[in-house]
Amino acid sequence: MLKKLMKYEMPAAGRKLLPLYGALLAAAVMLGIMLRSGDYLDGIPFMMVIFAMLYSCVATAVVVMTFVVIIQRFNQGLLGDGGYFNLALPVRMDTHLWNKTLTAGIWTLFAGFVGVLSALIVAGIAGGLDLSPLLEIFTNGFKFFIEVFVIFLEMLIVLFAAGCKLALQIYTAITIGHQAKHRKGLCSFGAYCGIVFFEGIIGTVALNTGIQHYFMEFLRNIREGFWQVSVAMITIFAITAAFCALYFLITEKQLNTRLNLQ
Amino acid sequence: MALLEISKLSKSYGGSFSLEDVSLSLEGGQIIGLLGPNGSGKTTLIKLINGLLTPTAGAVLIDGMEPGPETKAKVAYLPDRIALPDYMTTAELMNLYQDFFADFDRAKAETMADDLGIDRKQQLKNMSKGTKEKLQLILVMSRQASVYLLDEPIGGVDPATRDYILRTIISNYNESAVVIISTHLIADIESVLDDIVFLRDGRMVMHDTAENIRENLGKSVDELFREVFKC
Repeated sequence: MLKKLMKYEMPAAGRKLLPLYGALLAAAVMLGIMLRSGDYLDGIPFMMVIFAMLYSCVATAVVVMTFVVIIQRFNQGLLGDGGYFNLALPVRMDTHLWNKTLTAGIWTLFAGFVGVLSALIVAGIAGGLDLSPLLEIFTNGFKFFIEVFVIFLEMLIVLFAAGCKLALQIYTAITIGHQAKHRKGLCSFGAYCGIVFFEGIIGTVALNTGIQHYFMEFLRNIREGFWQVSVAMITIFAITAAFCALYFLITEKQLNTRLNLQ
Repeated sequence: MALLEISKLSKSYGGSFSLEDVSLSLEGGQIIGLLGPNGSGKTTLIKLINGLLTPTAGAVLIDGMEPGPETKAKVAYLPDRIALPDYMTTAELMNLYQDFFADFDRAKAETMADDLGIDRKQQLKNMSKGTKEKLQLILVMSRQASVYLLDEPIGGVDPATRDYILRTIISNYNESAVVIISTHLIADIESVLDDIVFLRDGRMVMHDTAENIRENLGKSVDELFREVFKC
């Protein structure tokens, strides 16, 4: 059932996000061409400023819209009118939640990828992209290539997990806010602030124990740079996954035991 | 065991009851009219049966099971609003139903869509309100479900289509199924009803067969409704 849900969920979110991603890449190409022409050096850089602003605006829109779509797909799809159809499907609540979370994670990852790609396009067209480090990956031997590849993969996994965590924070806040009789949106926002505050408290308590010193010491004892980075990545992933599990359980429990589609 | 068993079911919001102490036991093979004025608890009862609301007290059992994925595979639910994704076309919506409901009869849906002249390539958002309602009903009635929950199925359509829809309900529902129809338009559906449930202020005030009402009270269901719920 998860596969079937995602078959419909991915294009539903993509309808809104893909045109924006396309616009960001187009803005990057135009900005790159403008920077390459170099005309702005001789006078008032009107066109360069306009295209730089356009690129910044579209990049901001990508971030905002990804965030908005994550909220909308959950709020309207499960707790709004769409819930009257979706929650009448023969699908378990945790499968619905996996569907929303994984889709949000994938689109966050894709937004990050498009962001990096657009920056590379600007630099590439403007002539400021130095490809020699990239070539070194292929010329420094098989072991180095594998290490770079693994670190890149770890970065993607961490970014994906971060996207899932952001989505689950939002879902938890929305389901808590949904229990309120009035001003559900405001209550959801309040719940989100509470969740962020809760994470802040956990972080502060953890840092007060001095755990970070032990961790840094542990990293220093690892001789190879590759393993240092990998251990750091795995640790970040583990912490993110633990928060994901917590928010997933809270949201699922709320939806299973206190669902009130009004 | 009855196909649909509702025992002492209540739902309250902040202390005020939308539905209070309702008990019903319904066997398959009947069409039940869930009747009552606005705010009487009809939609609340239907949503509780389909697990879209959490009951404050009492229980619902469908084929011996509490509302969940297993019962939703057996329940065909028509909500009182358009809940389908509006960017999808008729054909895509049929695919969607086919993917999720094993009992969905695609050929039947295609035939009904042809009868009502619904364009397969038109997106839901570009259809009129009446056409959206017709399409939603077609999708629901094309399932071979055990329980049909139809919340205001004929509210927004013209009288000719209303006749078609009622014919559709009678001729397409699984004969061992129970069909619950909630509506205000009693005169239009009276002829198809086997059982009548009257709700007022969240409480069940009457449950009888349509035949008993006509024979024993000498009134049509519509007349009785007007008398019971006289303002």
